[in-house]
Amino acid sequence: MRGDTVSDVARLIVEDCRFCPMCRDVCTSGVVTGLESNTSRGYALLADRWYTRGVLPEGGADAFYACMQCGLCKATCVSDRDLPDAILTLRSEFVERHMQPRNVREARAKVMSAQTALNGASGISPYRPELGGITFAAGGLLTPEGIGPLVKALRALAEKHDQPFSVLESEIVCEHMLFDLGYRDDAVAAAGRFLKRLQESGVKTLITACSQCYDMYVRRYPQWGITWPEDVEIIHLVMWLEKLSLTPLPDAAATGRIWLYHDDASLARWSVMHDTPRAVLDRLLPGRWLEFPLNRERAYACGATGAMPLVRKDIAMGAAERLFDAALETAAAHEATPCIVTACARCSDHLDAARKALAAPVEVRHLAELAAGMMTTDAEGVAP
Amino acid sequence: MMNANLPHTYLQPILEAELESVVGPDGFRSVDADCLCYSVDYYWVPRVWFDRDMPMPKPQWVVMPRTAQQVADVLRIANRYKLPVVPWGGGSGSQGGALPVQGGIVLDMKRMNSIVHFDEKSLTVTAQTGIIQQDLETWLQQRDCSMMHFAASIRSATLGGFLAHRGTGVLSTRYGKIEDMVLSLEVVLPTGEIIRTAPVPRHAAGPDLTQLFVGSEGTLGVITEATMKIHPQPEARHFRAYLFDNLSIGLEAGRRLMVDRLYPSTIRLYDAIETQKVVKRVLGLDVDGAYMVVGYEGHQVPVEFALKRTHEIFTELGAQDLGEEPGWHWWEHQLDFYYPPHTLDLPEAFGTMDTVATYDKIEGVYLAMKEAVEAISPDIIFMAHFSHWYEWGCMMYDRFVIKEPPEDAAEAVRLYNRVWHIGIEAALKAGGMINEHHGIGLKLAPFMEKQYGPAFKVLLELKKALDPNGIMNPGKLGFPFTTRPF
Ligand SMILES: Cc1cc2nc3c(=O)[nH]c(=O)nc-3n(C[C@H](O)[C@H](O)[C@H](O)COP(=O)(O)OP(=O)(O)OC[C@H]3O[C@@H](n4cnc5c(N)ncnc54)[C@H](O)[C@@H]3O)c2cc1C
Ligand code: SF4
Repeated sequence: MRGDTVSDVARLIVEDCRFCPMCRDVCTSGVVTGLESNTSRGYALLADRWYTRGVLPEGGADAFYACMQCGLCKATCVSDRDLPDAILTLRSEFVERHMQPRNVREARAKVMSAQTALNGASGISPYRPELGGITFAAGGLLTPEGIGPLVKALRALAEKHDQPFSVLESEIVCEHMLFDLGYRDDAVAAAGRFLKRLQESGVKTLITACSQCYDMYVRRYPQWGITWPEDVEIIHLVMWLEKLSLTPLPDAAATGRIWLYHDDASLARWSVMHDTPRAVLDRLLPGRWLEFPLNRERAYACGATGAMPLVRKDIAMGAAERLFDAALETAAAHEATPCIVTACARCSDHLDAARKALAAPVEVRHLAELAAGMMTTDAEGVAP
Repeated sequence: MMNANLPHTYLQPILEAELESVVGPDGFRSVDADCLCYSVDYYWVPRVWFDRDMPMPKPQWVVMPRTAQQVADVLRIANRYKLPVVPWGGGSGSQGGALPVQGGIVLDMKRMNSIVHFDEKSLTVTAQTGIIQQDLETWLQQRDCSMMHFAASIRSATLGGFLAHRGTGVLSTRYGKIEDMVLSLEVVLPTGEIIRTAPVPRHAAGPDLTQLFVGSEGTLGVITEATMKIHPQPEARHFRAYLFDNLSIGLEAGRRLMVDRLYPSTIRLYDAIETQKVVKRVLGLDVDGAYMVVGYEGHQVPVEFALKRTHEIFTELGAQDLGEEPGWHWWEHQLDFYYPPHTLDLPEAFGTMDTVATYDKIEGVYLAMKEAVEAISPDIIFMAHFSHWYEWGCMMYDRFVIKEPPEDAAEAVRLYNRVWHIGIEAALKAGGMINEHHGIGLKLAPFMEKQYGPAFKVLLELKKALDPNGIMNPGKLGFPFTTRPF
């Protein structure tokens, strides 16, 4: 790499962009708002101004917070420009210079003060080293409606497979969101606290059902100079599900539904994990699930990434709506309710909230819920 | 920024409230960062201008309509204030057509992206024109159909942009250009009336209104909806590559296929420089001479016949058969030519002149342009491929590259424009037509009168009649700039 500092690297990435607009059709924020400054080319143009003049035109910082870090521009650009990463670097420069928009400051406050829905929830065993087994990392800012059924599903699966199950309590701050918002120091500090807690607990195998968390532990931590403890295995939930002996869901459970797998941005593009969730689905719903027409690294983003639901709810909702439309269109020939299955807790949480807000005639399920045979439509709140 | 067409500063918020009330707050923008992003399309001049930190031609307002009625309301407001309105599709045009050089309102069409009607029986689709062509194509392919409009910019350009510039795709030799694919249009006239052209393109009810708006580059109105011809997926698709001793024989070979009415889907013939440089770099084929990819598609039997006949004609002309593999390789990698790192970029200066002529003139046009352009400086390379063929002639995708243009932006642009002028003058003198599918925009505006002679008056009078205040995309297509520039 030619650049010496992080900023140099970002500058080189944007300098190399030829503004060819060949990624125009995929840029989620651009498609949702239709605004040129919210497209990958717009970001590259504005970034170029920042690096050549050192100032941004009025409204420039706001524009950069429309990018949802879906990674589609990078996946599309044959020269593999990491524009999303350059945008994150820019955001951190805005934060350093106190140029971040007000909604970003508010979002940080929300992330910092969030409590995981699991803290204080009854009936969940904290980790006990003598029992071993798997431990679930719940992540910050997930809603009780989202996390409750998930924990219930995981516990049911663990019990069925005779694996002791516990939850890593007390993590409250989502480093990923802080990093996405440009608060790098806060993110690194939160990561440090998390690792300390993890090591104190003695946990040996940590499962995350959030693809953004997984991406952060595996990709971002090393970038931040943080070494993951050697004696703790970190796995994405789908990797655990793949090892379980799962049986196909009964026909009755699937009646009236057609299942579609949503490749979330983090798992499909940043972690490049496509086949594992599909292998799980093949066992649960052999021949009964569909691919979205655009899938794997080309899949639509749902709006849950890039701290979007906190800073640009309009875009986050717009992305979800687009995914719902694609699901309805894909399922149209089957005369059944499309049920979107995702392997990411943040996606299922966001999509479920969006489906309710938009009154979209779709269902949303986390893959773990399917694996545990949980088929009811509405979430049942925090796990008992 | 204040707009000089508004006599009083307090008119600005009044105007803004009017625009916002038409499209809603999420469809209206006036902050600088949002406006700046409409100052660069795929024309080299704004690229270099931007790169060298020069002041950019920005709109004061960006308006994003969702319906033809909203477009009409915006145009009525613009007429009242006499403000320029520039339609913006995907901003992928190479002629500066969408640049708001006189400020005013940019009408970003990308939210008008719905598919309105699919007629399976007649094989037509009706869509709003802000749809990205790739999205429309994906939708059609999901229904086993295709528009067969495979332009290299399919992922960045809109249906409206292609119609406005008379665009073309790589299979045009069989399926035609965009103007051959369109049946009917909905257009918002500059004065705000919403009209529909005839429902079918073949009729005897007077001149063809549809074709009046195709190629009008946003100067005669806004195309809001289009009904397009579509095709079933072909039973057979074949590509094959050949090598000719020189360009002259290659041109004759292509002509023979066309006058023999074999109707290939594609013929792409590269001159010696492109064969050596571009074909080698992008497709990895190290050959000398004139490289050609030829393709056929449709039902298996006629395709097989055409392939056999092609082989006979080419063998007669001494061609070397390179087989199917390099032909398919081109099909699969056709977009690589336009992506980094293969696409041309700053600091080089480059332009695609894009000329078309009848078979009796095309080689002469090529030679005249090459000689004229390369005589300007040894630093300039002229090269071409011939990629869209007709029964009567073909199109030349002729490009020039200035390896080391002056560092100073104004000087670089001066040299760049000189090359354009000399090249285009040579093309006109040799009997070429100034453009085949990229359009006119700002870049070729100075040549319109020369190209058309007295006939240009017809276009001018039409412009005056349809757009009495001259608000629509001023300065493009050779039409005047507004009388009160700001
Ligand atoms: C990498 C690359 C490859 C390309 N390859 C091809 C190719 O293979 N074939 C080809 O034909 N072109 C090609 N082009 C050029 C470009 O894509 C075309 O000129 C295309 O027609 C521009 O469409 P757009 O939507 O981007 O329009 P814009 O650039 O936004 O606008 C072009 C003109 O159309 C007007 N306009 C836009 N929408 C409307 C509307 N709804 N009503 C009225 N006027 C409107 C604008 O005012 C402007 O004058 C290429 C460009 C790039 C960047
Ligand atoms: S990461 Fe997604 S939203 Fe951001 S610029 Fe790239 S494509 Fe657009």
